[in-house]
Amino acid sequence: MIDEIEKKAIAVIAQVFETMFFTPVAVQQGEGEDLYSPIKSFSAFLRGEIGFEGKHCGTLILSVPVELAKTMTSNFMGLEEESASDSQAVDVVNELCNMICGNLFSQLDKKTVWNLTIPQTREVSGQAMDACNGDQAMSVRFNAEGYPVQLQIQFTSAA
Amino acid sequence: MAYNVLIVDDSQTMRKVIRKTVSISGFEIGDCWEAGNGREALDILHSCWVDLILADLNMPVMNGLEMLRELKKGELHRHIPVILITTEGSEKRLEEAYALGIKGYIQKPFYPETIRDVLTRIMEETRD
Repeated sequence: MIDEIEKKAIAVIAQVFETMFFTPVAVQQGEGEDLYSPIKSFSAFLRGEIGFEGKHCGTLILSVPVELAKTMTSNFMGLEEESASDSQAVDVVNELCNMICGNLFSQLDKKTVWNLTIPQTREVSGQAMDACNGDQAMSVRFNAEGYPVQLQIQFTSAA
Repeated sequence: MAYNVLIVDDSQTMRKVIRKTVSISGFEIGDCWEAGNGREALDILHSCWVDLILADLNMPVMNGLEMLRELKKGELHRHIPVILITTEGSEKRLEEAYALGIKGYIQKPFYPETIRDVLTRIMEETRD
């Protein structure tokens, strides 16, 4: 089941990033790196979290470097020279979590009613990011415009 | 013909993006108001003439379904077409929303052309 969710998550991430943010993504799969560990190569990330409840329950976590979040915000809002504000970047990461989570679970199972919480985003350092528990979690790491982005899903009920 | 539009979404950024996307899609907007949740939307409807409501479902304070229930109770605003713009895709929830009177549904992420086509079709149907 986790494999199916992971495949669908990769497709949904590409769809959301490319359709709404004009940002192509390249997925990193395995290649000797521990995908469940936090990314430490960037000093500051925006970490968005959204809870889901339906056939499966848990939390989806998206970690985006602050610089990338601001670039994506500018793309999203059609800003040119003007740079995006911190609060706009937070708003965009919230919306990314909402779109990825909503699309992922409704595409996995349209019959189930999935209840999503209101997303919350905060700034964290690479070192402060929590690792997921690998037994009940999945992690996808990908590159967008040369920046590393991580999607983690921690299940609280069996998937 | 230009339509007065009310955009209801808890994300200020998303409201701006929807407004801009609707504008560039070629759909003519007259006045445009924004609300951060269903409660704020109902307050705006008391004082403004709105032709079309574009609403999210997942919002704090009053979500989209609760707002639809409130709209359905009153004679004054029940005729205003509501289109959902949301990440929701579950059949049951959409059935519930259609039963509460929504005229259409656009799933995020969306293309401007999708917005234009759905809005134009629904406003033509409403005019007929």
